Amino acid sequence: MSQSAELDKLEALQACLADSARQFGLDQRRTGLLSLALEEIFVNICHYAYPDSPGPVVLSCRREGERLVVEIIDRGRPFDPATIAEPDLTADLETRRVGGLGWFLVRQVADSLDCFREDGRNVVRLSLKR
Amino acid sequence: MEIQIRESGAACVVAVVGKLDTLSAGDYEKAMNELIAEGTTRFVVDFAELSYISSAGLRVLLSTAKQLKPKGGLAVFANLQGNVQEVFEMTGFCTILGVYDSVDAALAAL
Repeated sequence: MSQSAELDKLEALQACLADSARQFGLDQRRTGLLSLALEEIFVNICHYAYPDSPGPVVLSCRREGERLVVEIIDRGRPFDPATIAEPDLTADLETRRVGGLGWFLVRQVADSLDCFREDGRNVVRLSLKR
Repeated sequence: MEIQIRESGAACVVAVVGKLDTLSAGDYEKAMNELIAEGTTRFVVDFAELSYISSAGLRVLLSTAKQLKPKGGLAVFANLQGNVQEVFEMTGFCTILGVYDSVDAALAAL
């Protein structure tokens, strides 16, 4: 599915992902977590990838053996996950910040996670074992 | 996402129904800001019917909690379910925010 990098397109993408997860036989709990990972990745793209006007985001899901492989692809500015701050999970309420939590959650949800750039596109590829 | 508000003594019980994500987080924040502006400083946020929370949701929970602290106020959370409970645990939010098994237990803690 391809959508424009605008926040109101999130639900359509999540519905598409949920369909693929159901077909793959992913359980309810992990489908919810996968949907969360999609939001975090998609929101990052909406905020950072296209500074001038929203560009396309492609969601692709496929089965590779016992894994569900999900790719989220944009044609925006180069994305380097190494630049994302690591959240301090031990900070108390006063010092706690939310920065970096989205990406942290993606890493927790995925069994494997790859980010790379190819042909002018950023690809975030995550996979979950059934 | 729907917000249902009821009073319980000096506290407000705020039930959040649906999802707290990038699209609805702002509405939660707005509702809480209005209640705080009206003078409420003690809240139980009831997540019994909340099925989903993302970092956008966590952000507004945190900003509200931080806003209440200097006022001597407090927001605690009750009835975390499934993925919401899991996200709280993964991110350590169950340590920095008070989490209870029921609204009654949460009210007693305020």
